Amino acid sequence: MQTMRATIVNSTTAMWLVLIVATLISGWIGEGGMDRRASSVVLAMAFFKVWIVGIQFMELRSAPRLLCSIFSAWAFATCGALILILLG
Amino acid sequence: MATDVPSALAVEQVHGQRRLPGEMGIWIFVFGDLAVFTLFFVLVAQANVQQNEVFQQSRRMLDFGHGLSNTLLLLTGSWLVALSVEKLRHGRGKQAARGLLLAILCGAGFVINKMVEWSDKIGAGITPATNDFFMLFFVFCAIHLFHVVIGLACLLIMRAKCTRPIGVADLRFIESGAIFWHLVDLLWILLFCLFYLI
Repeated sequence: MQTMRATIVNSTTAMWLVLIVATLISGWIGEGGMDRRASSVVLAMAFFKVWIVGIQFMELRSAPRLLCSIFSAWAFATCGALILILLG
Repeated sequence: MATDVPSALAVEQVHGQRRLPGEMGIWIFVFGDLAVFTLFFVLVAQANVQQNEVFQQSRRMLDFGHGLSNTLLLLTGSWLVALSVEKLRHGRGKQAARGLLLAILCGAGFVINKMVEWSDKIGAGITPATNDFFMLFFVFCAIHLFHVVIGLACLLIMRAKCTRPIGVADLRFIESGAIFWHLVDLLWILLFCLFYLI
């Protein structure tokens, strides 16, 4: 039980660290100005962060598969649509 | 009367391995809100392409530090809320209440930071009427800020519930409040990217 609890807390904390590092990297890339391709990469990173928030923090990883799939599909489709718009 | 939350959860787990966190209503709201914000994101991306020079110049007038610090505050708030829900499920109400208090402070920090940022902008003569970039920036950030304020009210209620014995219905409410708070975080991640980064 103790191990399971530690695993839950650790995976939540590990994902928080991933989110913080990804934010700092995006900020570092984005602060200096970007071309359209770099913008697409930063946008994809933002959606990756969004997906982590959904899967880990909103607990979609253990939710009914349909809910998890709808969320993942939304993130993937919206990310793709925005990148297509940005790339013209 | 309060029930033993860990036992109630264990029964749910036996019936089905995958469990819906929170109430169904909150998920309907989440996907409805995501649909509306998806339209907002498309509007911003289209305007970015159509008025790229205006957007690039306007972006340079934003204070990047405010955007970055607000992102870090909301990510940390979300993490604290997620940990608090886990603590609560294991009967650690006091620890959960402490985590939620810290998350409330993160959210309050976001609001103060936003107010300072907007005051600076308005003081420098930059308003929603300045151009399309700032119109979209002020309007969509204001809609998001409204979400933050509602989220903070939910966190305060959740914290109050943690300080006394809770039942399964209370846990469902707390999980739903947590999901809403994560939605607030999720939406800001994309607004930060669209307005401050790209």
